[in-house]
Amino acid sequence: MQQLSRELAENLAALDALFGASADYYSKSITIYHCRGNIVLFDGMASLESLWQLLLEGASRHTLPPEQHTGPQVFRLILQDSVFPAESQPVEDMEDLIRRLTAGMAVLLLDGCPQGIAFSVQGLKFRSVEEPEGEGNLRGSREGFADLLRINLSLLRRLIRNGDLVQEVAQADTPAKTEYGVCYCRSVADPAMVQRVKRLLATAKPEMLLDSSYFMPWLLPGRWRLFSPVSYTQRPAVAAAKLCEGRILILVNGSPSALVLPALFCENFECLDDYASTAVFSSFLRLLKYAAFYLTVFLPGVFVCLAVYLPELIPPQLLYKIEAAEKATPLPLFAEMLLVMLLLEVIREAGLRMPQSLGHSVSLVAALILGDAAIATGLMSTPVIFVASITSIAVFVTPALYESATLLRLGVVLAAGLAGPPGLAAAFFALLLALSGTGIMGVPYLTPHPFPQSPLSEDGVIRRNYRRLSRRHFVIWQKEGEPKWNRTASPCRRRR
Amino acid sequence: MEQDRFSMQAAALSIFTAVAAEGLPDGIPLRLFLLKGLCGAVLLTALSAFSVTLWQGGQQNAFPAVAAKTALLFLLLAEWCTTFARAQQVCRREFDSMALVGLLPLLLWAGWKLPPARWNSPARVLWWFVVLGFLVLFAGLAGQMQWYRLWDMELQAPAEPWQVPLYGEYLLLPLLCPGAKLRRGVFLPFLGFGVQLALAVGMTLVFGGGYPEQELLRAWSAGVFSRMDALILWVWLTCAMFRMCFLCGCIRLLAGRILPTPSGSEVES
Repeated sequence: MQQLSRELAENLAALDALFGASADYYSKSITIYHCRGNIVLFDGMASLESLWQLLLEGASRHTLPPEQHTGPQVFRLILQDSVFPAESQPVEDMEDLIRRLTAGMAVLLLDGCPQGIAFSVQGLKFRSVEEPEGEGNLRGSREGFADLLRINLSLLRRLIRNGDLVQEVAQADTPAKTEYGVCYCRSVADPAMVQRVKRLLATAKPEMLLDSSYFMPWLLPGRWRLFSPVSYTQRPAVAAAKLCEGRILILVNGSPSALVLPALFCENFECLDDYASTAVFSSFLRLLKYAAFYLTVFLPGVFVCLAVYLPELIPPQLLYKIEAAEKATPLPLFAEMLLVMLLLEVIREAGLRMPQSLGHSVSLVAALILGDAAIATGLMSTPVIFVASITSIAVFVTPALYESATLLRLGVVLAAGLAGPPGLAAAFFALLLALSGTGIMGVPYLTPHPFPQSPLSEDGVIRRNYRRLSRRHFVIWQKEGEPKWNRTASPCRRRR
Repeated sequence: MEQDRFSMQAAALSIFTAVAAEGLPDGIPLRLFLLKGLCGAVLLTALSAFSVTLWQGGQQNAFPAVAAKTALLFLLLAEWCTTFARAQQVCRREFDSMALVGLLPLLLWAGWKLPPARWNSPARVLWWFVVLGFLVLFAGLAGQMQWYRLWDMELQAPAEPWQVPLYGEYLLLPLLCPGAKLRRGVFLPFLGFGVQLALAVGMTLVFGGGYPEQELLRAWSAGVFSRMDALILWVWLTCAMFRMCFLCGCIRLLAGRILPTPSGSEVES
């Protein structure tokens, strides 16, 4: 670790060697209280306007007799005996200096003083707090996380206005030294688990850290998994509710996506609106979401299995229509279904990645050419396209389970097409095992509280009145044998 | 350690699967079946309770105990083979598929490798499917049930000797399930009896006897849907896969008791 030198020239030479070639590096020589110094900052990150305003205002309020001061004297004067709003911690070494500069601060280096003074004059340009596109809601807050970590932390602090919320910030062990934040509520989070998460993140060495999801291989090392026992949110309101249930939140600078851990399977079928609408309607919606998820996973496989292996289970009228449609196509039903599903995935991926201006053209091509023309030319049958379309739409009801559902759907179609009913049974069995084997930090993904053990629990597949739910507080860290609901003093109450 | 054991639902599902495939004695009247079945269940419960006492007693490494465990191991192996043979028969006859043979290595691997606690959630979900299957079956058969047949049966002893189905799960309870559940576990033979009784009542109500059990599934009908036997068989097939894996886990646990290895000591703890 390179300490700052007493010689201003040496410090400036070292900085020049590092950033001299960079266009955004700004260094300005000044004389303050008759002592030579240099203001260094990165243009665009620190606001020059704020800096000069701050320095001029400070200097005008505090005039000293015109006598020569040494560097250390000026340092003490500015830091301790003046009205300059400097950071309380001085800059000690080159690493610290770079960290402050890249955080958007301006640093004053004085001749003869081996320490620098940092001024918080950040003038970073950042995306404003907007409604997140990926998490639609009818009621509740419209705010979404921005890209800057500090902004995101302030959004959380604004929602949990008590001393319970802890927001720790650290630098990841990456070449880019990206900052990340670990947030939790002191009274409800499991201290051992918080320490474990912090230790895991501190020892993680990602090559780059561009999103909180990059930490996953360190949080769940060496595991083959179909489901992720963590969830992501871009809404501060959801994040705050999760924190109040004892969960741990990881935010990374530069990403609006917060990683919440641990997460439960049933939470994929819940949303913020659930608690804003009536219990009956939200229960109905939840049931619909469960049905949509299982439909998207199993419908193509079951259709292939029934049509190929067990046609006697299909009512005759429907069977005749399927039979007539299939006779006109050259491919077997199983291959046809696989092809349509893969094509739909290609269309989805293209729609997601391409420029927005081309979106309409691709949708038109997909709808007309791949849909209408494929049937007209007899390459694909209407029932197959109908089934594949239903499953493709149904998967968006639970967007958090998109990856798992897509892989499972392909697996189920393969198993059902190749092995028939035994294959379908095996695929179903594999899904159950994958679900029951998922968990993080001792919290099973299928924790006993929700389906299937207690599907009619207070806040499971269906939910009760919010007033009734509010009587008991849900905390995620439930130990074996302890009552499932504990009343604590946390401000937020329910799962979202 | 409850996490290293099966749940009571898992053991019950395994017994249900075995009993559902067992069938009924030929030509036995319902009242006689009820009487003998009850006696058999009481007998098996007593045997199960006795085995619990033996498991909890000392000298587990004495020769008689090891010999009894080895005999149990062979019983489990035989049950595994029976379950596989029945599942394969269903696949071949009803689904025209030999795929179960291909899936066998996967089932063996899963049953041997995964810890017992991993099977508890799948067992719970499968129970829901069983209940759903039962309701679907009942709904499709309700219109064909002739209730007078319940009182119309003559009390006539069948020619075949009475057989009480004995499953390894009855004798392995302390090894399989957590201690707190043992008291309920010894009554598992009544579950087996209940399943057989439901089957016998269904056969009597729909046919009055004299048909193979599978005809009960084929008699199912509801509106445009005329065949649902494959669906019920599919549920049973899934349960059979579960039982094969479950029995693998039991064999592993028991082998760990007979030949103490690191895995055996884990079970001990």
